[in-house]
Amino acid sequence: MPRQFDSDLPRVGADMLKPMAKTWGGDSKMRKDECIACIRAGLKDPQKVQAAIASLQPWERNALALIKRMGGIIQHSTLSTSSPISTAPAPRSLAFLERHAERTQSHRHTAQYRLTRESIYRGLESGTTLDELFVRLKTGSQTELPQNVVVELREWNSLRERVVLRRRARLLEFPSARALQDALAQGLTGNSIAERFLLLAHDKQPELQGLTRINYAQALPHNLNVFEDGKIHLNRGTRDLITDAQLSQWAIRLSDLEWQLTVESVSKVLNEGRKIAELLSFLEARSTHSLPSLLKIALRSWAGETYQVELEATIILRCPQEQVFEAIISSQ
Amino acid sequence: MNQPILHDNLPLIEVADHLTLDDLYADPRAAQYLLTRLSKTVAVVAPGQMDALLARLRKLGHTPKVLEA
Repeated sequence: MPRQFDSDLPRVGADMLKPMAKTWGGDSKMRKDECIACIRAGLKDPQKVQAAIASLQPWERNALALIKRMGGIIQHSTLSTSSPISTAPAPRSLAFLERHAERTQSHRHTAQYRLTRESIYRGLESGTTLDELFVRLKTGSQTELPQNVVVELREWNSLRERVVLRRRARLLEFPSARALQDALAQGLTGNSIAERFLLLAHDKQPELQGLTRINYAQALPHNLNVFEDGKIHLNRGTRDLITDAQLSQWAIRLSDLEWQLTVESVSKVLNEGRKIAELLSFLEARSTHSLPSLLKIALRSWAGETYQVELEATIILRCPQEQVFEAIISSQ
Repeated sequence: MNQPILHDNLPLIEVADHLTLDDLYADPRAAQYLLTRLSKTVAVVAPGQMDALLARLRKLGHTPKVLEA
């Protein structure tokens, strides 16, 4: 809580009070209590306040303006600040800096931040636009933003625009590029991102006849027939955009609807660091029936799991005559 | 296929330069998350693997813009 200037006067030494009293019409022969009374009376007189302000030296006005801007207080005749010395001391400004810059040093009244590609990326990902960033930095800065900083920030923003990830895109696939162009000509709006694909706004529900919908947030249908020998048959309904590619990562494509798992095809993927559990999980999620046990064992075996199989000689008693056999098995 | 298909909630990656996507397909640890390539600059991301792909992209030095839709 800032203290009033005149409340602090009794704590100020007489030697300092006398020159201050002169501002308010006092003289050097005044005692300390007279100086204080003179100053307080002057502060209550608007005309004397005006006159005192007019007599301030430029550096004194500058100092007062700074103190006021920083929410400073006057203690024991010394001008000091109780808030961080910064051009942007407000909590919102500090929060902004914390979100868009890396704090490199922090002291009682000062903190130093550095703008980095990483910190700016974090800030932009939190929803700040480049224009907002410039406005906030310029507002809180005593000087113009250096040109190299402006250029660097633009560059970092542009690098972020070069790779875009969309978590839940709504994509309309047309049978041909011509069909897409016809739909656009008829007023359908969206961003054409590939020859036959139109990216729609998420709240946009296209009104097209005969439209089939595939929702990738839900499980896709069980439409794989998986056989003991590693052959996989796809019962294609509506062609989705992931199944073919998922199968082709692990198996060799034999035809439009058939794939073959082999030691080589599976080992190649495993050597890249993936786990056999991923493949088993994918096949189990999409298979029309439970996976053949022999295939599961084969896949785990290709992944390095060991199973023991042994050959053993067996002694068989053969009885060519049935009555001998019956006698033996009925024997107590 | 004679009628349009609406692919909803589909994870996608779009790049400004096709060489970037070529590089990602050539990187086994990024490629495992990339499925159908719709064009030179657009590909489908394996459902549920967006965060893993994002982490890989960050490791490769990219700063991708992540959008909900």
